[in-house]
Amino acid sequence: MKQPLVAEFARAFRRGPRIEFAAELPVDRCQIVVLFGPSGCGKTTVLRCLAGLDRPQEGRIVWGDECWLDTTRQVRLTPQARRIGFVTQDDSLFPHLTAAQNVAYAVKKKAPERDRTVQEFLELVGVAGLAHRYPQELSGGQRQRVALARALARQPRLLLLDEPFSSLDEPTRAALRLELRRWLDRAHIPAILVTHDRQEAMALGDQIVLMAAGRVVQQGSPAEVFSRPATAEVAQIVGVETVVPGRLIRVEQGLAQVEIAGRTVWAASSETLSREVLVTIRPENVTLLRASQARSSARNRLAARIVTLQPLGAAVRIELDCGFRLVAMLTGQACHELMLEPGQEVTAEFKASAVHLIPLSDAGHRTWPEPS
Amino acid sequence: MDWQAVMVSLQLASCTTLLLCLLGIPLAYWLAMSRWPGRFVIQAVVALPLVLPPTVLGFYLLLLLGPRGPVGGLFEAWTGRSLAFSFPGLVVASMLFSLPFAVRPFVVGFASIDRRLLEASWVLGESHWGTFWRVAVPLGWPGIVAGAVLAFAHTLGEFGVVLMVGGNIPGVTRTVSIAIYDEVQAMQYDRAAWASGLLLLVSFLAMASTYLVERRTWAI
Repeated sequence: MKQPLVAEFARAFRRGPRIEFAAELPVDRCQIVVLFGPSGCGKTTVLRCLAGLDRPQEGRIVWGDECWLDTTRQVRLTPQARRIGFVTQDDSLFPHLTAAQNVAYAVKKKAPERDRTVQEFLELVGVAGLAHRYPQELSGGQRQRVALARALARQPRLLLLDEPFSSLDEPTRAALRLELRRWLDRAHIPAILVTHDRQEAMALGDQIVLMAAGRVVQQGSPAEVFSRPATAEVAQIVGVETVVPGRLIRVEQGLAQVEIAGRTVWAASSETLSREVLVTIRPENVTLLRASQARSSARNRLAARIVTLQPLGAAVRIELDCGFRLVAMLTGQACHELMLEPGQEVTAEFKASAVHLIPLSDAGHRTWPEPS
Repeated sequence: MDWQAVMVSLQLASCTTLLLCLLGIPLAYWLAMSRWPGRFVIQAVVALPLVLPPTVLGFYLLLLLGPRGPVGGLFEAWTGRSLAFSFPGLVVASMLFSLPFAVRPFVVGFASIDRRLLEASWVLGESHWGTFWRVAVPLGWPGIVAGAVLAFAHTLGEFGVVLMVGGNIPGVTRTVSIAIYDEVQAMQYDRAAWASGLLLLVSFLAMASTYLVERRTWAI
């Protein structure tokens, strides 16, 4: 459906938190909308409300001309009627059915055609050879692949994913993450993904809806949300403040050379990455030197100009322009000693190991703002 | 051995078990899935026959099923026959008396199913009724088997309620357990021994089969 999903609702728990969600989820123009936030912020509840598995006390959920929920008009569409896919962490496969029977569960077709569909989706997620295994005979990663195939095979209009990879080990998770986008693209189904994993949010989200304490606190592209936090609260949640798109030039002896807006940055990395990457640097890993000071052992050394200085308690948050936007966090003492002030030319230094690269599986999909 | 009494007992146990499955499985599914706060009242009513003396239950049933009772009166108006001291009356009484033995294992069977599996089915577009048949019954079947077997065995062995409601009419309401009592009263220990042995054997087989089924439950 070529419309955003509009949701505004409140769900209160007795002796628990109150969740007040209000957002327009652009599932019409984004492949993956990520609901991101710390554990316990209510993002899973929001997803369950969208699926129709949990009931908000008040509010409405509207998708185009379809009303899923309107408490003032007593409208509440059942999960069955919403025609969505829903994949949770683990253990949602029917244990008494094989992988193929699980996928076939919701395929409303006659025998030969149904088997073809099942085979097609098992092949899509790369587990065609395991069709006759029972869930307990599959690994965690294989189970999640089957669960995704099952959700996709019924051809939902929207896929809701609740931390689908969080119970998997890191290599499996990274592999599935890269593949997920390809599957969604192939099936032409938008998805809303819940995660508390920063890397996952950045690697997968076309749009990030950031939640804290039951509310939406910021919404935007990953670059906006992660590198331009609207509030100190958001900055604390997202942690990394420098997130810029870059292009991988080469990887040699554990060092990756990345070009960002004409500048070269070195990152410690031995993995084979995609050509387009997101470069993330935590602010406390960036140190500043007066232009005249001696060089240290740090691999990255960039001339920069101070844009703003913002005291945050004992620390000072410094926004720098070094061809791209870089954020540093220094102690007040250090700032004082260096006599830093806006407009000043300095040298920013950070180790290659402080630079983290996030592969982008399919850059064609995204529209990244030009680095400022 | 009083084969006529054995036949009555078997018929009574079969009818009771069948009807308890028909009524008890949906009730148990509802009890296992419902989040209604007043659910505990229903649970207590279902469990009541476990602690109530059979004579008390029999007494109330007699009032209820008798010609002047609400149920017995209606039954007599419709069929022209009395419900008390008849086989249908005995079935109604047995159903009530064996209710917890059937429903509680059913509930345990359904409650052991991960709710996320039912939710997964709903989200996949399957109705509540379809989910019940395709997910709840196949996964809860050890509980269903246990409940049915226990209800059967318990009905075979009941005594007090049968005596209160059914009386002791040979070929109609005289069950094995009552026959054994009569034979012991008449000092015919050898006949009582055979019938007792039969009940012991059937009861043991029933219990053994439920534990055998329990061992083979689905597990991830």
